[in-house]
Amino acid sequence: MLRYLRFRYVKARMTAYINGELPQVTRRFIARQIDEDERCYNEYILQRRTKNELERILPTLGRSNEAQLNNIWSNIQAEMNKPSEMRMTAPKHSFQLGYGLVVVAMTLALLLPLTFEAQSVNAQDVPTQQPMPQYALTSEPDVVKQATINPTFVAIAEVMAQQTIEPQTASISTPVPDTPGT
Amino acid sequence: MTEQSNIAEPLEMIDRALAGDQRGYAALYDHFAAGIYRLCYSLVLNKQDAEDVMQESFVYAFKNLHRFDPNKASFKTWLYTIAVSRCRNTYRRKRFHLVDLSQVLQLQLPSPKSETPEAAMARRESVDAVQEALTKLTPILREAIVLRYGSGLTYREMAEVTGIPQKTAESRVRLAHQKLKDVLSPVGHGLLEELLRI
Repeated sequence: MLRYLRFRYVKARMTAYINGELPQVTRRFIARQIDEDERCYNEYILQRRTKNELERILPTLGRSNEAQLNNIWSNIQAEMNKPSEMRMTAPKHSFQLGYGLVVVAMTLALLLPLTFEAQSVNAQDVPTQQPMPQYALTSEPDVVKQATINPTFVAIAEVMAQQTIEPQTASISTPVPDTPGT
Repeated sequence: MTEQSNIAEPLEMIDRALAGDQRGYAALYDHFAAGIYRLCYSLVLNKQDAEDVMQESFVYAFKNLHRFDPNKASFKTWLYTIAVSRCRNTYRRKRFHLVDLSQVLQLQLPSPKSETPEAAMARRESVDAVQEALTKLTPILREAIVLRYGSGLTYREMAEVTGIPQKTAESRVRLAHQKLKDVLSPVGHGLLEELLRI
């Protein structure tokens, strides 16, 4: 059990040991374990080989040739000679214009239904208009006025009219009664 | 490459470039192009993307050369930071891995003329194995291992380039190393022995 724990300890620090990043005391301990324990030794060999391989192969990965670098250099020079303001501002304006149009379209889409709704007329919502009282024409408009103001006067006037005037003309100043259903 | 210049130090190259001397830019490109291309290729693992990223990085660096502060970092670290940032953008855009046809046809690595066919084949196989293993790493761990072993940066430089603490850079390299060991060991053990004999 103790050997296994030591192996785990050494394994966790092996990369740092190989790269020379450990303090002296830990280095000595790990070196002793590598000498004494076969599993630690195997781990050490494996990690050292991995490191050597990485150090050998990684720098060769993506090796460039002269023609390729020359080509990139000419592209860089062309890019450097371009006026920077035009390239920077043109997409910015087009973006702003695009966003502005979208905002306008969205605003219209939101407001148009509200506008139509405010102006829409529903027949059921319209209040019914009270029918105007209809009066027959009389020779004395003032009497009609008073009759409309006070019905008592109208009644008196009716009685007086029946006594003095012909019955056909006496009833002229009275309002026409409402017809049922209106 | 470009016209050879006698400028040796990057700071001198930068001064010349800032003064409007085109040879300054050319000298900077000559000095760093190969390393930046290797870094970009190792991170994006695609020739076309690597070229695009490299071009973007140099254009950005040259246009913003006046912003570079030699008191804060070296020019190499600054340029590598730009390149790594562009590479991150690239593999964020392309989440799936594109296979480079030239890689498939194995046109990437011309073998040395003195190499025997067996040695060349073994070398190509080991390169393919490492490249395949790199694709299995997460981008963060790939960055760590490529910057450490591929570009030979110190942990301090790695921390500056990737914007992480130095201890984090160390632990990422360890973790990537462990993962690569696990990936490479089943297929690469016999191959490694063969390589050691060659």
